[in-house]
Amino acid sequence: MEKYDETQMDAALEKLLKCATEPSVPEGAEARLMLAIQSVEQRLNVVPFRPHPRIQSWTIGLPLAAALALGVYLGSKDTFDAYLPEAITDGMADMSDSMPSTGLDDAESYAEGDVT
Amino acid sequence: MLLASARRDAAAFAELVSRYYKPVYRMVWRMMNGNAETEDVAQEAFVKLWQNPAQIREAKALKGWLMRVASNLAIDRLRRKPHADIDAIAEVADPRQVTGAELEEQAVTARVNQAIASLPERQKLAVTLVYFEGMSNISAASVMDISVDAIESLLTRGKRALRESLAEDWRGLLDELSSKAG
Repeated sequence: MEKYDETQMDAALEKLLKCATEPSVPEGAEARLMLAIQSVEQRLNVVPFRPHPRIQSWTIGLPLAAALALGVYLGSKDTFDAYLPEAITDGMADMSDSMPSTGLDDAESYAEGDVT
Repeated sequence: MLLASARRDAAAFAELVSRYYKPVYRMVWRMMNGNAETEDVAQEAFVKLWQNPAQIREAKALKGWLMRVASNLAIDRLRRKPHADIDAIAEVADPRQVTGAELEEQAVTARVNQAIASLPERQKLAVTLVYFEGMSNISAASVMDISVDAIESLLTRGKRALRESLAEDWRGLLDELSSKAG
């Protein structure tokens, strides 16, 4: 075997492989396959697209805009407090500082030279 | 045809079957060493195509896809039944009772079949696709989902293994081949 080079060995091997059995398809195999597929359901890879019922954007936007406008209007009027429970309005009144804060009193502690 | 098959057109699918069944069957037969389940496996590959034709995006990829699916199914089947009947090849190959020179020829065929059957499955698939199905290294690599370098390596190892298995008969086989050619 040593006298053969790689190319000759390959050529010989290819010749040898040609001696291998050539399988033949059994008679009726394709017909049996066609019968088999008739009993198999075909699956679709694509999920059918069902569009959602179209909602007009203004049917949502309009009430929201109206509610916002009403909120702003009522909020700008003091009379709105009359519509709220007293528990809230009284609490808010207590929280309010009678002395207006100018920020000047606090400024001293932040003054340069008093940082220690 | 692929599109028509996707629309459950049995006639179009039959056309695909007539075009690709033989190479798929041959490849599976070699992978399964002539096992009687070859037809089942080949059929299963086509049934998978019928069930879900949308998996193939390009018609030219169809043969490669079928080969890949069928070879994977064959390998799975072999792994489940590791002692697949390699010896059955001679029986399948040579159902006739013959004598004389034909017997000698059959002996060569049996030895070559046996050598192929003894290859590891990936080497066998590479050899089958390239040498028996005439696929290019690139197409075979695509079927096996590996690089071209990897398939070349498998082919080299496969050929080396075949030479080793046939080493005892090498000279005799070459003589027989040369006498046949002469």
